[in-house]
Amino acid sequence: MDSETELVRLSKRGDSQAFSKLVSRYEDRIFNLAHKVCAGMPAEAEDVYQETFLTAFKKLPQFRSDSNLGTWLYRIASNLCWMRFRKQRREPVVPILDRPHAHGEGGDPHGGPMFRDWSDGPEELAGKADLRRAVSAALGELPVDYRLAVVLRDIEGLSNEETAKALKLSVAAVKSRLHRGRLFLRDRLDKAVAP
Amino acid sequence: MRCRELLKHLSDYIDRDLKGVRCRDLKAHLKDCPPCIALINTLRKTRGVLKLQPKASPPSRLRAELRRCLRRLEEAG
Repeated sequence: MDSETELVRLSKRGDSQAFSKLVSRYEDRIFNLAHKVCAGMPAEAEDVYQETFLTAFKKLPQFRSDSNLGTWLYRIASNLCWMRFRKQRREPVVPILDRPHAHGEGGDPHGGPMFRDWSDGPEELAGKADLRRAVSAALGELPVDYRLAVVLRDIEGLSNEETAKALKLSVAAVKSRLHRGRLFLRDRLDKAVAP
Repeated sequence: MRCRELLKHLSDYIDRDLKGVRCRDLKAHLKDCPPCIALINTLRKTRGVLKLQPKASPPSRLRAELRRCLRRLEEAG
């Protein structure tokens, strides 16, 4: 097995075979990110996947070897996704955050709508085709800044710090977007679980 | 801690990033607030559902096309 450091060194000299080995290590993760962020737009996802690696091959001489290659690739892919959806920059409407009285204000701590738990657990919910479609549709509704934070953190499994590096944000900004994005998706899934 | 105050800290709580007095206050609030318990549970399930989304892989024709493009870039110098 070739070491990543050696493959990066050869790739920086323009060796496409060495770079293809690096592609093989990361392409599923990059494609999955593009697929989830470009929800419902497979042609866009394919473009992001391809452009990410072509851009990385060209810019690899600028890559610092003490950095994390995976995070660097996520950063390129995230930026390409962001460029496609940048006109959507706005805050997602999250009813329980945007309408304060909807969740226990004015002296009655439980005066808002009664949130109900869902009877199924995550495994049962994720196994349902209509729920998977609902997740995809809800992600598509989420503004891109928030969608990227949710996909990197909750779908790709990056830490807050890694997500912050990939998105060139502070950890506090990542947490804020993640929280608002999750609440938005929870609201959409709540309607899909029990319309 | 009131329900509204709790809203700000829900994600930190389910990610185990909430520490100290805020965490203690939130736990105390949850002993007596069924709507907030339901909200936390459904937020946790939302995170779980996202984690369990099926992974997408690039189709083989796309993988092959990328590698052809990379070879052309190398040849072009």
